[in-house]
This record gives sequence, structure tokens and C-alpha cells, in this order.
Amino acid sequence: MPSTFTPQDYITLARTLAADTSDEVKLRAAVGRAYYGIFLLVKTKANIVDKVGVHAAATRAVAGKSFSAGSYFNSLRLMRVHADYDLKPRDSDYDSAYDDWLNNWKDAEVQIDNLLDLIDTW
Amino acid sequence: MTPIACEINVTPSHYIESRVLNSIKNSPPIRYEAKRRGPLEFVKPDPKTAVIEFVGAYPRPVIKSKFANDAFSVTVHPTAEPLTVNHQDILIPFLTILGDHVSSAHITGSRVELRGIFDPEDDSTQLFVRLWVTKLSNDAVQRFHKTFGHIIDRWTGSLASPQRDEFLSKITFQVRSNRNA
Repeated sequence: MPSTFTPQDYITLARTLAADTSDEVKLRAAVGRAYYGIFLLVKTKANIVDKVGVHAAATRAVAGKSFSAGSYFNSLRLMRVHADYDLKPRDSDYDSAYDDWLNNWKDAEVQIDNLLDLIDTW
Repeated sequence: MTPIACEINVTPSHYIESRVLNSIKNSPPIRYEAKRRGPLEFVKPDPKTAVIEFVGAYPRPVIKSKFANDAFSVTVHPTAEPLTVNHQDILIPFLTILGDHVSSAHITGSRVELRGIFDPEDDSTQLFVRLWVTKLSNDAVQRFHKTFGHIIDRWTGSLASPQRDEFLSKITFQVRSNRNA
């Protein structure tokens, strides 16, 4: 049976997960799914076919449209890195600015909405 | 110049400079951004290809006064130090433009934090410029982001292509509101 999956499905899933605002696990997962939803949309729009450095290529593609959009995309990308890789406050890369995951999700929503507006007019 | 195969192990936040001795005399130092942990003794240039003289291995002191600004204080996290050195030609004007815009927007009590963020899935590092603001609504933050973005688009449009590419691929900007302040 052919897949009916679309990148927007990841963004819908992210919003569903983030509805539980008290659950850090779901908020972290929401950031990750939201990023990949946006990333897949950008990858398609920008026709990125590389296998290596695809996230950097997507960043350049969005930043080439506008600095503001590139910053939103990259901020979401780096928040996703923090969500999935950085756990312990004693790690040298740990960034305490991300400690509040509800705040993080609020920032992510702004980034997602702005990026969807850009993608609609790409 | 033929690329030289060698293994470099040095602590993060440090970089080394080397000079190729037997191919081009008086060649400028080659900079390597360090990515792996380990003592410097493990540096092993390939003797069949070239002799490399290492002229420096250090966390070159970040000259913070270069980033100083009347509009905000700047904190350089250790993860950002090599990036601030390698990309200072684009970072300094960027921070100057940011400072001007912060002042003209009458935003007070702000500060800037510089961090290096490594993306393990892409093996790439971004210099993250985070502007912290207080007492600013989400709408005001977005308006600031948008108007500042237009200014930066005009500035990057005036840069030479390699500098513009360097900026777009290395510098990330975020406005973060301290909602608890």
C-alpha cells in the first residue's frame, strides 16, 4: 500500500505531542518532529538530493531566501540537536537556555509558523 | 596545493596553525579547527607528502573588546571561541549592526551570548548569536527579528560571494525573550 505520509503530518504530530505542556518527553519529541517536518518540506522545495551535509544545505537554501527565515530554520534545527543529544547540565555543550521545554516549544511554534509562511510562497 | 593527509587530535576550543615547509615557501599558516579530543603529541603529518611545522597550538585569547558594544554585553562561551577567531571578519560587523539596531529600537537590558553548536548529524558547527531581551512581548520580538532581518539581508547583499556564503553557513541568530524576568 503506498504511503500517504506528508511532511506536514510530522508537524501535526508535533502539535499534538506539545498539547501536553507538562511532559518534557513529549515537548522534546515535538521539537524533533516539527524540525523534520520543516526540513523535509525545505528539502523538497530546494531540490536537495545530497546524502551528506543535507541539514547544512537546507540551512543555506532557507537563509538564501532571507536572513530572518534562515535564522528561524537554524534555531529550530539547533533546538532539535539539543532535544536529542544534550542531557546533562555538566556536559560542556549543555545550554541552560533550553531548560524550560514549554518555553522552547513556544519559540519553536513561532519558528514553524514563519517557516510555513515562507514555504507556502517558495 | 595538494591536500595533506594528517591526523590531528587536539582539545576542542583550540586550533592549531601549521606551515607547509617543502612545497611553498613562506606560505601562510593553515588553520585547522579542532574537533577531536587528545594531546597534541598525536599530530602525525604524512612525511611522504610534506613536512609540516606546527607554529602554534593554543586557544588564542578571544579579544572580547572587539565585540564590545554600547547596546549590550557579550559573553563568549568556550565552545564559540575558535569560531569567533576564524569568523571575526563577518562577526564584528554583524554585532555592530545588531548593536545599532538594538539601540534604535530602544531595547534595554539586553545581552548577547555567543556559542558554538555542533550538529552531530551533519558534522558541522554553527556560531550561534543569541540576543537575550527582557520585557518584550512575543509580537515585539518577532517585529524586531523581521526588521533586523531586512537590514542584514541588505548588508549580506553587499558582501562578496565567499563572505556571504561564509556568513549564511556559519552564523545563526536568535532573539530569546527572558519570559521570567
